[in-house]
Order: sequence, then structure tokens, then C-alpha cells
Amino acid sequence: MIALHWLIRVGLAALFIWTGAQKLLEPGAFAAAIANYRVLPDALVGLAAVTLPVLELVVGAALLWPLYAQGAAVLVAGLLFVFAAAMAQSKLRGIDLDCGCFGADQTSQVSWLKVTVNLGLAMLAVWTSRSRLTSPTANRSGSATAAG
Amino acid sequence: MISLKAQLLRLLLVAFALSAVLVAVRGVPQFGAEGATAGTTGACVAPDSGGFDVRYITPEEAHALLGQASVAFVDCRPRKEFEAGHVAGSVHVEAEVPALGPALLELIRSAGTVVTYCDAQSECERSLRVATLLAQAGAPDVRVLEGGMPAWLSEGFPAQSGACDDCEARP
Repeated sequence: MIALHWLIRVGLAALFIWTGAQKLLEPGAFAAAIANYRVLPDALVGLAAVTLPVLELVVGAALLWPLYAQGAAVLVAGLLFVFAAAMAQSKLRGIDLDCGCFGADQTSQVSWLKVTVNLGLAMLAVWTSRSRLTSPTANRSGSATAAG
Repeated sequence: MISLKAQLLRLLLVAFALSAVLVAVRGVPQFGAEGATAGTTGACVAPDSGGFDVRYITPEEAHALLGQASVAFVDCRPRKEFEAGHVAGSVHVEAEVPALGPALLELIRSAGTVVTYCDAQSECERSLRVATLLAQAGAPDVRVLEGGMPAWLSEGFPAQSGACDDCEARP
């Protein structure tokens, strides 16, 4: 079970580091993608276009650091819930847009499938956040509660 | 071990500190036309169309025209913004192109009403420029969407994303 937790954390870390880096490469395009959701005032869009990718990079890296992995998993779950909510409101309003999920070079349309995938990943992050793991090879008898 | 609350606090502090450094070094990213700053949404004023008949249309009025065969919507924003989301059925035109291509002119002439829109930055300069070109080319009824695409989306009207299939071929 510990290995599964680590596998999920490494997967989420890779995803967040990659998407965060892609968004930071073209902040203007990411800002335009955020603006298209029409959920933030224009004055905050530019700041969100910087803060969100940086936060993704930080939590992605922290997922791989046992001391901060639990907090990072909680933040990852929070971000994924926010992304899912933003996409869901967009679909409900009939706004069919590029989701901005992977930066400017990876056009990807908002869809209910993406909302579901985000919620699924968020649940995985919540699950992994429920335990404090020290390493993939931690003493199994001492971490029975960690497996949930 | 560090408590969960302390972990969250430290991670957020690191992220905000790094973001502040990035903003200080690179500035706040600009979005929209011509690098204009955010905050001018809906700042359109009466257009100077050089004597041609170009008028404004509200998002509500334009929405009522959506889907009518005699109405064409023209998106004057950069291609990436068009592909990220546009009024369904819109034709894409780069506002920087000094003349309209023959295929587009034919399409425009067959339409009774043409609605141009951009992202409402710089007083709708892009959509106004294209609207003037269209009026000069003989389009009978040209309107500029008031507030541009941001106003359209703010009203909750539908948009569509996807590649611009004929962008490359257009002169």
C-alpha cells in the first residue's frame, strides 16, 4: 500500500511539475485562458496566471519530499477541486473553451470528462494525504495506519 | 514531524514568495490585444469608422442574431485566442492584415449583417478596424460587438473552442 501511495504521489508530482512549467513558459496565453473562464476580475487574472503555475510547481516538488508530502497532497486536492469547479461552471454556462490545463501549446477543450478526471485525481490526492509516509521502503509494521 | 497546518502555511508562503519574485522580474502577464493592460473590458466608445456605416450592437442583440443564415460573426483577435474560444460559426480575421482575402469577402457579401468582435481592449480597435474594411468592401450592415468577447462571455452566452481550419490558407 505504501508503494501505491508513492506511485500516486510521484504521478501527481510529475503532472503538476510539467503543467506548471508549461504554463510558466507562456504566461500571457495562460492568462488569456483564465480570463476566458470569466470567474476572476481582470485585475486578478495576471496575478493568478503567475501564482497558479508556481503553486503547481511547489506542491509538485513537495509531493516528493516526505516532510511536506501530506500538506502538498492536500493542496493538490484543493487545486484539482478548484479546476474541476471552474470547468464545470464553464460547461454549465455553455462556454466551450480551451481549458488551459497544459499551457498554450497543448490546446485541450473543457469537457465533462476532464471534470471527472480532475475529481478522480483529487480523490486520489485526498487518499494519499491521509497518511504520513517517510519513504517507499518504510517499516510496514510501523506504518499500518498509514495505509488507511 | 511538521504539523499539517504548518506544512500548508510554509508551502503557500514559498509559492507566494516565488510568485512575487517572478512578478518583480517579469511583471504581471498581459493578455488580450496589443499588450493592453487588463481592466479595460467593455471600454468601447463610439467608433470612428471614417464615414462608413459601422454601428455597435449589444451582446444581447447579437445573441438574438446567432444562428441566422444571413448573419456572420467575425473574430478579430489573435489566432490563439480564437482557438481558445469564439462565438460559434465565427470567421477568423487577423486585424493586422491590411486587406481582406477574396474568399472572406465573398462570405461577407453574402451576409446581410456582419458582427465583428475582439477582446474590447484599446476601445475595440481591432474589431473597429476590420469593420471599417468590411464596410469599405461593401458589406451592407456591419456592427461592432459592444464589450467584445469578454462581454459576450460575461452574459453567459455560448462559445466554442477548436482549431482554426482555414487560418493557414487565408491570404
